[in-house]
Amino acid sequence: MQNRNHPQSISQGLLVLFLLSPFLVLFFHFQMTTRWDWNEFLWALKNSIWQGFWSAVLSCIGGLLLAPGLIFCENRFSKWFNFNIFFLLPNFLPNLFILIGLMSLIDPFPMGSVGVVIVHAFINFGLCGVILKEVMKTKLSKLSDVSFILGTSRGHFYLRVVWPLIRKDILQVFFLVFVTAFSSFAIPLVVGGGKGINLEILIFEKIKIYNDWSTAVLISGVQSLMLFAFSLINFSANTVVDVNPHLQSRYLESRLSFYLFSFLYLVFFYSYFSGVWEGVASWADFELYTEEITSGIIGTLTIAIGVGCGIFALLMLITRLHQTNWFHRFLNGYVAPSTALIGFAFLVLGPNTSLYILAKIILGLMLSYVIYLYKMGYGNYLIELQRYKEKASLLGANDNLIFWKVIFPLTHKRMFLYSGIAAFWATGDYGISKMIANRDISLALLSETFLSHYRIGFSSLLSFILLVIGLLVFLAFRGVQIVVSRKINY
Amino acid sequence: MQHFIIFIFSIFFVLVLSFFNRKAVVDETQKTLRVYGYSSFTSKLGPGYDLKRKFEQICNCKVEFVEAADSGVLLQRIKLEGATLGADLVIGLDQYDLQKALSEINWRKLDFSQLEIDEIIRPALSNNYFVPFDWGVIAFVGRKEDPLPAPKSLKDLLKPIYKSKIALMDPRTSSPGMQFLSWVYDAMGKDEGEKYLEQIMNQAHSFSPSWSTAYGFFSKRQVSYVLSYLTSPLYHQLIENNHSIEAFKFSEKHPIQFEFAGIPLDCKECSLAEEFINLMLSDEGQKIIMNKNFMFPVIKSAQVGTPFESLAQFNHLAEFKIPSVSDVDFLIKSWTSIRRGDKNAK
Repeated sequence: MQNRNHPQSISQGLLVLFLLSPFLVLFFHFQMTTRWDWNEFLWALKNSIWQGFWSAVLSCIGGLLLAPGLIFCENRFSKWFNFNIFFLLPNFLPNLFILIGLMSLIDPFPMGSVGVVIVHAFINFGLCGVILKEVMKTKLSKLSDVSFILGTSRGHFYLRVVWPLIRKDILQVFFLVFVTAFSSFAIPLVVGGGKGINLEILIFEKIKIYNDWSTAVLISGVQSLMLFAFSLINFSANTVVDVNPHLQSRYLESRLSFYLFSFLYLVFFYSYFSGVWEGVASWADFELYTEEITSGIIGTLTIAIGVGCGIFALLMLITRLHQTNWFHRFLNGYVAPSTALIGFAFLVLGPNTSLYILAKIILGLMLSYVIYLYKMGYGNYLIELQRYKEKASLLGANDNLIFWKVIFPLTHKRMFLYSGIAAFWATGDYGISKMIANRDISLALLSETFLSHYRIGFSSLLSFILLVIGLLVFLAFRGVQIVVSRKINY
Repeated sequence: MQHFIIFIFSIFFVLVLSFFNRKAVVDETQKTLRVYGYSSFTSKLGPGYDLKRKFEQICNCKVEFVEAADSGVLLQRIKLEGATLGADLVIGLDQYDLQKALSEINWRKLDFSQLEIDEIIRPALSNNYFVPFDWGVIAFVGRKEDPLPAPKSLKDLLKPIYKSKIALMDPRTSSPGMQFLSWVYDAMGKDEGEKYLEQIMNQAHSFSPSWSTAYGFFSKRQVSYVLSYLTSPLYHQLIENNHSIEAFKFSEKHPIQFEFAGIPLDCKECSLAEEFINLMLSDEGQKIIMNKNFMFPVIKSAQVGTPFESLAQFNHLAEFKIPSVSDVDFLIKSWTSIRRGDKNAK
């Protein structure tokens, strides 16, 4: 069935080409004459692996400890507030504010590779906690209640039930963080120290110091290939699609975890919000820069909604074309090149006038996010749905009918969720926008400009406004999802 | 689903229209001067906005700013767009960018040797292609109330009491960071400078990718000292009415950073570009640059009667020079190898 569908294979190929386009553009733009140095490559690789591994280990441990706390608060308070967002916030804050917050928590802050691991772990364990909470709720709620009724001890339940059932999910989360930390740039540059140089910084050095784009592209390509090879290790976890909302999940929840992590985050955010408060004191700047801020807000909204819609379209396309063949392996293993390379690839591609710039930023961000979102669980969810496709196909439904009547109703919630997350991320983008834009078209860029004019308080305030806009855009996607869900159900 | 798609596209379309709306009123008969620079200059917070307004009042033209992330991207952008869209003027290159800019792009000759500028900065006019429009003195900045004694030299910074108290910048990504690197080598020579840098690697709190990040650490009191400019305390005094920030005079002569403007050879509105430079170098233009950039003006008269005047008397300055591409290459490679702990690297 898979091989007879040539248009589908061609479409898959075109999508893969789109995802590989930054590499292809740079490959053809620069003459590929490289000066390869094995020693520095292996050294940077060692650091990347070290940082990636320990960041992933700590994030997973943090996520595992946080997940029971999130289940507790979801069981108790979910009617009033979605706490997941609170724990995901470090993912959306500019690095400077993360670093200042962490340096307030940990004094003296260890610079070097250890510092890089701590920052990565802090940024990611909230995300790990949210993903693992979902996994635990969907896979273990029923078993938790059964174990509770049968009088099994909590320790026995975790050792004999939880661990065997979710260890592959933990490995997947590990891989997700590993990939992020492995290819991290800004944090190793600030806190990594010279000995903490990783592959991304090596790529940057090749571009900045030696103007050697071809070696930079090659290192980035090799980095992607290695992560791809790593992804071939089969730790695909099976997910359960439905969960009964009335289950108590008593053994899965932990009051202590919730209060402990909430306290930690509140201490962290105290530093951030004190900065925002300082920004409120310089409120007069708002009047002076009303036009720029308004323009920045419109630009941010345009980029965020554009990216959200683009990601939704890409996820629809991926869902429509999805097969558990090379296509899935590619999407699961491929890692997009660094923001500097994506940004530069789009900069050299075609004209750089206003509309093109906007389109390039949106496309660049889509390229950067879609693969990450696929690894966040969307890919596994599609594999889980494969059996529905097969059943429908056996009953004689054609591909279009299967997609619109079977797959889309099951996937649209997640598509909207991931599109909302991508839109949220896009509000705070600095890397790709800065590379492509020819002026401060978004609030994130404006915030950085304020920072470069001594105005850290006002910059904090703008970053807070960014968070609010990001949240609103995320909720807008959620709202549209609710409307679409109603339409589908009726 | 169709309604949803129409709804989302409507919102997106309205946003895109709003996004471009402010640019809608364009007189097609007007010439456009395309100026390339950094956001710190071209944004409303920088001097670019006021200069543009002034210039548009007198030139019957439109000024269009094009920003770039750093000098590398700026030069690439000019190469890509220069021939088609036109690149008329480039603003904001510092002395470490000049030779690279000369090697990658052809520039028009400029002659501003008759400008009435301070003698100490006259060497910056010695090149034929770029004209300086402001300058700053690199210095360490701290707080008066800080219990630690103020450092008096580069070597003082290595004292144990300053361990993890100093925010520095990565010279590969930050021009003040590059100034610091050059300062160390100029003051101490190659061998001693390398030893010093090896020690400062473990002594500094951090080497940030940008001045703004390092200054952020200082503002949020994560560090006691930050590499910045002699004029930085003026911002806090004039804008925040905060008189507790001070810049320290070191025994080693302080480096000077210049910002230059240049006109690419394939400019389309070359005479307008020269007129814009003339505005930048006029008394009025220099005052705008001084007050927005918190840097010294190159024209002496612009700072008379301002708080900048007394600071400009600071004469403990290192000799100005425009480093060659190989000098810059040496500095960066040397820093990279020391930062990596790779002493044997050339």
